[in-house]
Amino acid sequence: MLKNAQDLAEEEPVAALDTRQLEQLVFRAIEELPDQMQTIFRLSRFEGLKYSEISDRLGVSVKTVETHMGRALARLRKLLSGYLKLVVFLSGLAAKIFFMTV
Amino acid sequence: MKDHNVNDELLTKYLLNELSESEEKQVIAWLNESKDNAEYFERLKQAWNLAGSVKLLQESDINEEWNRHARVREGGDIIRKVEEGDAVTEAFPLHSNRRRLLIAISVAASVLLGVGLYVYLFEDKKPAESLLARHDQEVTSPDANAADDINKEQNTSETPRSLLLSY
Repeated sequence: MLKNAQDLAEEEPVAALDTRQLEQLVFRAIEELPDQMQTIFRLSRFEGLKYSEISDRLGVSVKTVETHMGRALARLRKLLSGYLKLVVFLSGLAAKIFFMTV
Repeated sequence: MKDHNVNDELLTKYLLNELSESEEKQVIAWLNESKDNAEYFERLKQAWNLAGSVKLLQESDINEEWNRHARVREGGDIIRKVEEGDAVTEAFPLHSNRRRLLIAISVAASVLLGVGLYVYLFEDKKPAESLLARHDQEVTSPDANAADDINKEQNTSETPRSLLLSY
C-alpha cells in the first residue's frame, strides 16, 4: 500500500531526505490534494497559466482559483517545513558569508 | 499570522504576479513588518520551487517507463521470432556487434575443439607406442636379465666385452 505524503514526512525528518525522496514526497503531496485544487495547482505550476486563464478553462471564478492556490501552497509549505527551514537557514548563511568575504 | 489562508492567498498571488496594486502594497508592508514574515514568505516560495521539480520527476518517470516498456516489447519480439524460427538473423543482424561476438566465440570454440581432438588422437599415442615397444622388447628378449647382470659386473679384464642380443 502506498504511503501518503504525511506518513512519509513523519517517517523520516524531511531535512534528512535526499533529492529523489524529496521529489517523491512533493509528488505525493500534490497527488493528495483534492481534485479541483490539484487541477488548479497543476495548471498554474506546470502549465504556467494565469488565474484568469485557469478560471476560463475550468469555468470557476477567479476567487476560487485564488483560494485553492493559496491553500495548496500552504499545505506544501507545511508538509515541507523541516526541509524549507534548513534551506532558508543555509541560504541566509551563504549570503552572510558572501557579504563578509566581499 | 492570524489568518493564514488570506495571507497565503495573497502571498501566492504576490509570488505569481497576480496582485492588484493595492494588494501588492499591503503584502510588501507585511513583509517589511518582521523578519519572521519574510522567512514565512521565503518558505512558501521554496515550496513553489520544489513543486516545480515534480514536473521533471513526472517526465523522467514517463521516459523511464517508456524505455522499460520498449525493452520489454523488444524482448517479447525476440522471443516470438525464436518461436517462429527466424530469431538469429533478426536478433543478431549481420553487421551487429552481437553477431560479430557470436562468430568470434564460435571460431574460438572450433579452434579449441580441433586442438583438443588433435591432442587426444595423436599426442597421447606416442608415449603409449613407445611403452608398448619397450614392453615387447623386455618380454621377447630372453637375455634381458642376463644383459643387465653383465652390465652390472665390473670389467676387470683389459679386453672389451661384447654382448650380442638376438631374438
